[in-house]
Amino acid sequence: MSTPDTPLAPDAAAPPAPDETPSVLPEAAATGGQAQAEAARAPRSPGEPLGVVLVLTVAYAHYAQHPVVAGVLRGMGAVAAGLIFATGVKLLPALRRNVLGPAAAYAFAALMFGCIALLRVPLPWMLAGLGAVCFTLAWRRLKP
Amino acid sequence: MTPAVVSAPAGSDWGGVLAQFLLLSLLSIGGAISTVPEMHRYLVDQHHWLSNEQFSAMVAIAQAAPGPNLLFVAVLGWGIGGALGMLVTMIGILLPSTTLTLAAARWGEARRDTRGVQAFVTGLAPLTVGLVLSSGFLLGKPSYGNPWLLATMIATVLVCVRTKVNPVWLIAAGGLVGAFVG
Repeated sequence: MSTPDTPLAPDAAAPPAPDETPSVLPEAAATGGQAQAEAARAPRSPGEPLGVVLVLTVAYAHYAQHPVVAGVLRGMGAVAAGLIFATGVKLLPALRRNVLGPAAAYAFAALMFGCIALLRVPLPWMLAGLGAVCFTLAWRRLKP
Repeated sequence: MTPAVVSAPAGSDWGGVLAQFLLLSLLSIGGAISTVPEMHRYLVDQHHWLSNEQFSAMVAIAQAAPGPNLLFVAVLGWGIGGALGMLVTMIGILLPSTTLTLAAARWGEARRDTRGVQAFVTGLAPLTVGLVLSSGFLLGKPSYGNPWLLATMIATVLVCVRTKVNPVWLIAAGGLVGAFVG
């Protein structure tokens, strides 16, 4: 791949940018208002943020070899990782009120973390396995 | 020059990339961030198209820029294959979301008080939390070998949990730290 001289050109060929991050069901709300947070960051015109991000990406591709740029990006990456980890930490207290009960909810969250982050089990397997278990347990607990 | 790409997918692999992102779009419980672990597994661990460091840098770029989080998918797509890569990954992640998933979301919204939807939403909430924590952990991989970067990551978690500071300032501060000790 070669970096084009006109960084904005691919923007024209880009698919329509999303207005908002899609989520399958109202889970985002259930897990701590992620939806609102993401809606607040929604763009004014959909193509605009994509253009900004692409300019930055092409610039990164071009200067990634430069030691200071590489350092800056590593620092930004450390913060991005921290931000997302913190999002997860902030979701933890809500699990105390989960229908599965606090102990089971925390155990399932830990199991998911272990399998996905440490053992690198593919997501479809986890959802088909652990997802089905969680759904079934919740279904039974919600018996009217 | 080709700095951002370790080894781009061959022509025949683009169908696989599209299929992977279509599937991932359907499985995106809990929003864009919870898709990070599976993208990382596919792009970094399985195919080695991106290094840990490139993957984290690209997500950081998308986080630093204004706009929806989902744009990190466009950046990763660009990283593995320029405009074509971006087109394939964005079509993959957006096509089901704008059709099937939207319909499913409406269907679920209309029945949000039913037992099945409740069981799905609350039953899978612990898994969503596990996925978001996994995303943070995996994005931190390039930082674990450098005490300064590790400290930056830990400090970010603490600041972000305890205060309401705008993340953009934290990312800028991280860039500054990285310029000297990254």
